[in-house]
Amino acid sequence: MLLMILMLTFTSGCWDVRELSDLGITVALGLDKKGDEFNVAVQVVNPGEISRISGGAGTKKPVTVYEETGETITEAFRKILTTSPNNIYLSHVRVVVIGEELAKDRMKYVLDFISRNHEFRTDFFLIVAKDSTADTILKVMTATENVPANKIYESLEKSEELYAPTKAVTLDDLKMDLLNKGKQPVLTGIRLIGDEDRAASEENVKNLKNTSKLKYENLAVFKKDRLIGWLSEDESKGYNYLINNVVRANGVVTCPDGGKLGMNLIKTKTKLQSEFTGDQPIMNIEITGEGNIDEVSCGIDITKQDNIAKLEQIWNQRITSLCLKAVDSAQEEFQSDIFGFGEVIHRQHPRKWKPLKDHWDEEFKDLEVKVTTKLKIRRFGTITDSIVSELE
Amino acid sequence: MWKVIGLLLVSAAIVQFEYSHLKKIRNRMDRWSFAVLLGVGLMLSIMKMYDVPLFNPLQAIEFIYKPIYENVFNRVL
Amino acid sequence: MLEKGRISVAQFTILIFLVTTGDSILVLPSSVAGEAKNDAWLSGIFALGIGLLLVLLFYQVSKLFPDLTFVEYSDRIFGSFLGKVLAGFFLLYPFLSVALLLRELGDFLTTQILPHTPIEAITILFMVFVIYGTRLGLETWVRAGQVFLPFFLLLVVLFFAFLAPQFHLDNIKPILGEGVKPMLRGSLTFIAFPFMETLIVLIMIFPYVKIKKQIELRNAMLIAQTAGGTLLILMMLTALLVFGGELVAHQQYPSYSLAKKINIGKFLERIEAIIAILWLITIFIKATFYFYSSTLGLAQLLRLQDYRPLTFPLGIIAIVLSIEVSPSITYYNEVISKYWPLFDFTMSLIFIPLILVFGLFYLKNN
Repeated sequence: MLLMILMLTFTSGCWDVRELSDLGITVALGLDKKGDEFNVAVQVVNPGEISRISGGAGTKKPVTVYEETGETITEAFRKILTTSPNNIYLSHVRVVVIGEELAKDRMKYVLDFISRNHEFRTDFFLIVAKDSTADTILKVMTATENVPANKIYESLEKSEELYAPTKAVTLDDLKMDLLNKGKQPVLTGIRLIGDEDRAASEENVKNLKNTSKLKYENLAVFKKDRLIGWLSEDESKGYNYLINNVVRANGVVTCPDGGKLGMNLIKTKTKLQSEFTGDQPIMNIEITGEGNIDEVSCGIDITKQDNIAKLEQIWNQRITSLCLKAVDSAQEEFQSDIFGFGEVIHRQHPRKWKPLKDHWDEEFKDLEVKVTTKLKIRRFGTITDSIVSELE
Repeated sequence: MWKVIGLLLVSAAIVQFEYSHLKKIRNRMDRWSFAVLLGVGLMLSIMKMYDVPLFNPLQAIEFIYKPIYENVFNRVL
Repeated sequence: MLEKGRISVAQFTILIFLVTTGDSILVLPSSVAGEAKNDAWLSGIFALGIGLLLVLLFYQVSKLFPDLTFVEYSDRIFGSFLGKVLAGFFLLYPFLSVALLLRELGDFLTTQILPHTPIEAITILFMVFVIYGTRLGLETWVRAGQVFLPFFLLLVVLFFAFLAPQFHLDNIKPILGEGVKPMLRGSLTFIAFPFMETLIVLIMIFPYVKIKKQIELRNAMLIAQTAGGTLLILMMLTALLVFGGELVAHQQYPSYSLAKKINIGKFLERIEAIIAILWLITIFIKATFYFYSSTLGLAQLLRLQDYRPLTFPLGIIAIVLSIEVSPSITYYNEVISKYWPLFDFTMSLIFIPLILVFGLFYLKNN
């Protein structure tokens, strides 16, 4: 019996056998719109170069970018096969970069292609190339990593954890948002800083001080599958607070007498509650959390309880205003419920959600949103009173 | 063409395999049912290889139950 | 007596458990979630209740002729001509199911794992194993299930444990937000695929279980169906907690997508191919169960002395059927999720009670 199963698993593999050396392991995919056609760029690992680099004699690029244009994404892929020496293998894709123009226009076809193809896994991140095309982003190489796509992937993961204005979105997250009537998707943007022409050159890698870099920039707001605009940095931060996506973050608090104070947020939790007055929904948002002071650059005496209370108040006001800014711009500028307030109402008041469901966009515009923050300062690092206030 | 020859070879192997076994069984019905079913199987396979349209039993299921699904199930629930 | 082997009550329980899980573990979540969305797990609980009630009905049927299969006693209760016709009609059910299972397995493997492999290569190979199992006799292939069971349970436990970190309780809220209707619509397939499809064909297996009292059969069926049903409900719940109702409904094989999501500390990941063995085991047992029942039944119907010579010819026909039944996956999905369950309902709620009524009538007069 065991033999039967063994044979069953091994013998059936022959048709699909592909030797490792024939695979062009693709780590990043860039999709753009070119007129009516799709432009596809793939970043393929060059296995020989990777090992040579670790041996210290790397001269060529560790990855190669191929790109082609086709009427469908698949056609572009087929064309890439004619230029690339290896088969394009998609199971190891870490990031999919979508050009801003494409994101504004026909994102859904991209999603369809990616979901339909069996080689894709679902754990890669999707990002939007802000003010740029996806293939440019892919061509930019960085000095810190041998495989640039891995660099993009890891820095997005870290940035989501440590710094508030980005959000790592996987394919499943995005599809869940698109299928949900009460929530609109967002994606993180990536932008090229510096000289575009030099970015792709090998020189950029060799220079210790990069002249061109990639930087994550805020969140792109979607309405259904179309990109309709960008949140500012403050709004992006507010967005993450509102959807309970802040793990750790740094904040700046203005001291009562001027000067600044650095705050390190260690845990936050956001609770979304919906209620109704008559037929009018109201969202109550409560953010609770704790923070540590990690830098004092003003003359405040933080050993005094009064001062801590004052700082807490200022800090709370600041976070509240970030959140309200995000809500305002989503309601007025974009009219797109990126926070999933509709979904919260759906969960908590399924019956009252029904009449709202089909024209939620208009309802969302006039939704009353109340934000309360209860952030507490817990600790202040390894010294008590600031040296700054001693010196003054 | 090669497929058909392959199929016939496989069937010959099956007949050879079952022959000694069938010989011991006195019942003529056993031999006949084996022969008839194998013949039907072969015929269907060859027809399929030459893309002769066959009857799909699911069409019968669809024919019977589609009206029931649409008129009864969809109305009740 | 065509089949001399006997299985124990424990083996009988394991058999029903594995057949109940069968292909349902792979394809069921999608079709139920298509109707019931995030209440699909409630459909499962409802369906399990109905399934257990059905067990009581089938238990009554098993009491009619404790030593005979349905094909053997059908000409007694229905008369020799009608009896043969009805028995022949009944045998079409498991036989057609074999073809459908082959197709399902072939479609799954060609879509997800081996896209360039011709589907015939997969179905023929699988059919060869099913034929092999069938020829070895009831006792042997049921024991194969018994051997697989620990591996199967181990994989299942690991599967749920690995996915637990990705559960989002919000995904199944609101509970019954759209009322009970979608939940009931979803339970159509949930009742038909795991529960009915198992029970109907059991009337070919009942006499081969070693029992002292008939009631043991009922208890075995109740235990096995509860265990199998619970496993399916857990699978459904897991899919919903990870993906949410909408996304489950949009997938062809939600359980496989779940396996793809397993990622423990960036270390234990990409193990979906191992998890897929889980479905190969249950589909193999279910397919053998059907194929065995239909060959044995046909041999009994034709009063042959051995059913083994029929296996190869019927196997060939099953393979041709498996290719013929589905001109495209769209057609297949529609028929299987909408009309085939109604066929299951007809078989178990009209055909089986018919046997029961005629059987009781016969026993009363003789």
